[in-house]
Amino acid sequence: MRRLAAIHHFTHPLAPHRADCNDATGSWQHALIRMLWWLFLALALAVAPTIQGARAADSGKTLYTYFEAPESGFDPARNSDHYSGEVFSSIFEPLLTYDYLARPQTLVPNTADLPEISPDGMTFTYRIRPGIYFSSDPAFGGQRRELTAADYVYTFQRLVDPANRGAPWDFMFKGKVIGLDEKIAAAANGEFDYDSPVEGLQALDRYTLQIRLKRPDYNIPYITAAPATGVVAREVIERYGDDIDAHPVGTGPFRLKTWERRNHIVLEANPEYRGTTYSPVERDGVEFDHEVAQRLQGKTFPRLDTIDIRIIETAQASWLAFQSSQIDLHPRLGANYALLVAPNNELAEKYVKLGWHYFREAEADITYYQFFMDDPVVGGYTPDKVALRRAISLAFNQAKMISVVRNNQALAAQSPLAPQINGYDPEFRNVLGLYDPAKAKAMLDIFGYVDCDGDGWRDLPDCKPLRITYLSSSSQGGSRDTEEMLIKGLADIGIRLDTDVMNFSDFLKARQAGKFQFSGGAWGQDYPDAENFMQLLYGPNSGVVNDSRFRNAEFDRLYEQIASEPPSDARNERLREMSRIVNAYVPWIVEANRIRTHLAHPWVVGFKPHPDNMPHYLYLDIDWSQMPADLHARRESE
Amino acid sequence: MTAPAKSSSAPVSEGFWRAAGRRLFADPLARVCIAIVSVYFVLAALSAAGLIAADWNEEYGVSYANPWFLGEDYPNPQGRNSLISQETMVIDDKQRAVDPLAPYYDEIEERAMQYQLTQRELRWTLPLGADKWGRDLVRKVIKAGEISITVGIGAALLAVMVGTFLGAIGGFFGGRTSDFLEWVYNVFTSVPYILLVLAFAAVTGKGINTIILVLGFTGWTSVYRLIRAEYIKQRSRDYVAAADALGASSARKVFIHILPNVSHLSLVQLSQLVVDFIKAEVILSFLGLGVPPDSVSWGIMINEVMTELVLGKWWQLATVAIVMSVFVVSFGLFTDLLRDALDPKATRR
Repeated sequence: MRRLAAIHHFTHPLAPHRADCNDATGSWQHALIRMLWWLFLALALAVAPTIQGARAADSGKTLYTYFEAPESGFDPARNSDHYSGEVFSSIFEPLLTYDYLARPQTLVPNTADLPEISPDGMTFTYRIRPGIYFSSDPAFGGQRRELTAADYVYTFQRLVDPANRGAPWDFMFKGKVIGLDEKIAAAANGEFDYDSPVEGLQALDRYTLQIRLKRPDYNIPYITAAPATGVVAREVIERYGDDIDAHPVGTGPFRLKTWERRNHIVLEANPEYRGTTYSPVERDGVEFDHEVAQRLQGKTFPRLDTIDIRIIETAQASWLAFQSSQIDLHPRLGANYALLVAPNNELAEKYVKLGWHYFREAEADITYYQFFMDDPVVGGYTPDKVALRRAISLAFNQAKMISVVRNNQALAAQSPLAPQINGYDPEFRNVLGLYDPAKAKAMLDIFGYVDCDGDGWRDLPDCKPLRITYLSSSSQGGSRDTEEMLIKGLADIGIRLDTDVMNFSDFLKARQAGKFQFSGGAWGQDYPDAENFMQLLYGPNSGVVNDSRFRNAEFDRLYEQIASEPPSDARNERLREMSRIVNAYVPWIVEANRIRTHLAHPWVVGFKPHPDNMPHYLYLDIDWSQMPADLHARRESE
Repeated sequence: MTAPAKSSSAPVSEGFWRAAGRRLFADPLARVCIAIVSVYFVLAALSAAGLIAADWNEEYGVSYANPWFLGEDYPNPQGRNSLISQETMVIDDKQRAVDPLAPYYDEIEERAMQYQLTQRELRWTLPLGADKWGRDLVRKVIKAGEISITVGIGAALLAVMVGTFLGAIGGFFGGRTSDFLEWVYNVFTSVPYILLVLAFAAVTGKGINTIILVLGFTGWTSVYRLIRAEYIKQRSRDYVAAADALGASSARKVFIHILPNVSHLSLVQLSQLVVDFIKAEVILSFLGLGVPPDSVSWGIMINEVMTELVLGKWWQLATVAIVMSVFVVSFGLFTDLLRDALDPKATRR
């Protein structure tokens, strides 16, 4: 459940749970620093005798980068905000991963080989590679701790344990794995029982993991590549208890060195990491970036010793930090800066001279506006109710929104889906959603939304006043542009729109509790399949996942079908049909698929934005020869 | 009246306010300031009455239309966005099949015909240019001025009235009254300013009146402190003792005798607060408690400028900066000169 920022100011990319882990900073920090200090001492002792055969990270190579919003914590089971994910994706390892350079996104082995899938799509068997070790931690009592299949059994159960801040990732396994739902139900009045066996989730032997489902789901391999399914060790979780956010211990290439909450995160190479090389996957229809592949050839990763991440929330500040080489990497430039850097989708001359690497691509995300379908005014499924929402969607000038507010750094979304995922059809058009205020007014007239009391505003068919409130979040400067445009667009067709602004956390809570009429939203992929997006409108998901509470029998039927079949033309047609239903009933007014611009300095080697939106620090390197001598000297002296 | 009717030419002694007015108008700088401030007030009043700038929210130009002196050929890639025509799309059978409104298509089309209106031709230049939506900056800055001046003056007047009244009472009477007011003052100043503002805003709701109330009721503390100190100083002066001897009531002493002698302080505070509150309004707007999105203020305009400058669109900043600073400077000077003029001991003229 990656709730994303809709405009860089709109829905903040933070999970609803963030508030509860950040308040007690004061005394907290002292305890934390003390703890980190002891941890450091313990680690130093524990690591000393065990550094053997690990990888060869070049010492002293530090990559400086930034996040545009604060992280919340590094326990994958408890945190679903994007920025925490960027960090823990480098620390914890899921069973599978995506090939770094292959497009479309292609799964490759990680800690396990690609699974054996039974012909009915209901049983998945993973062979975990022997000889993978967790990074050392006092929790292991000075022993090297090998990764086993049982660790994944434990990890996946944690994802559905409601005690983990409501289990924001439970949709990945809930309702799918045999025997798991019973356990979740049992945990409702007590602690989650990790010890009793789950029929559909078993370690057949030390290195074999088997997942068995109630119904076919071909997305399971993708799900087992999502960073949230990265494997944790039970000893560590139990040792640190509620402090686990600050103690991520994984098998991945990096580990947490220091953490100043919401300010500064430092990762360092994990000496226990087995080391990896890159060779592009060879599969039909899969392309990869040869140039970058060549630069990665023959190297053992990770190459970097340290990743230094600052939280810089202002777009201007991060831009200046990049310009002055304080950060090496600038992912996700603000729309205005993107335009400044590459006005015509080409890096401006003066930046070419500086040797900057420039990347621009459509992100696998969508922004939208949603109605609360249980609302007496804007909800409902009868033609008059549909007409009101349709009129509002016709009054929304999507083209203008994208050109003026987003500076053309977005595609006009036509369906609830996002580019770069299975089932997305770039040819599909939302034929009902074309900006047309005349038609909107006609629709309202016909269904009786006329001005009864002569105040210049339309009223409901029963002559009660028609007032709609748009709920928005104040994070990162609010979304005044959007509100201005919505208010004006609706005023043009005679509908009065009020706005209600609250902070992001309250905003998400209100939305999930169904306390809104009309609001904005955004979603980024967890795995590259249409199902990950369509689930947001699936009737039985009404509530925390399906905020709008959209329920449509035909849509739900199609959803159940697409959720349990592999990609095919017929499935794509079903997805189009689902998009048509959404565009006809308008629980969502689809807005944009954002185009992102990323920059890297010439000395950053191997950077390539991945559609999964994760940083993939593993493959990055610093080429000292490309760095100005004075900057190199400055970095050396630090 | 305690004003010395000091006049070298007039044989008849004139009143305090008349003398002050004469002193004020004798100053050419004051005349200029008054003229400028009056222009702003007149524009704000006309705008409030809906006689000018009522259509500020309409799009007259293309996105970021140039100011006239840059000419039409000054590159404006954003302007082309305003002229994009939409792709025409036909509703296909598959879409029609799932659309609950399909039976009404003909009716809707027919009725829509009567609403089709020709679009205004968008201009590539406007007198001071346009903002991102293509709104005329002249109209926008006038409308914004109306809101900002209303907020600034309204809130400052409220704050000064509250502060002066409480300061006068507290300073003049002393004792328990003063203790109580000191306690209130301490409570107000002990709460962080933004929290205080938020607390007030939460109970009062939204809109421009709210901002005035919120700023007024939270900003009175500095005025209170100054006026209280001044009253403590003045209450033992001879003229107060004289008034006391003549049997003047407390209220008369407080408001008729002492107030004119401290009013210059209130006025200085007023001018300062107007400027402060115009700025505070920006912060409130940022927190979502300020000017609603269907309205505009100078603060909002300044806020918008941040992103525009990156695109090289400087004219909104220039417009609002000049308009606002001229007002703030004139108003400040005017208040200063007014203070001089009202000072009973003024001997400059």
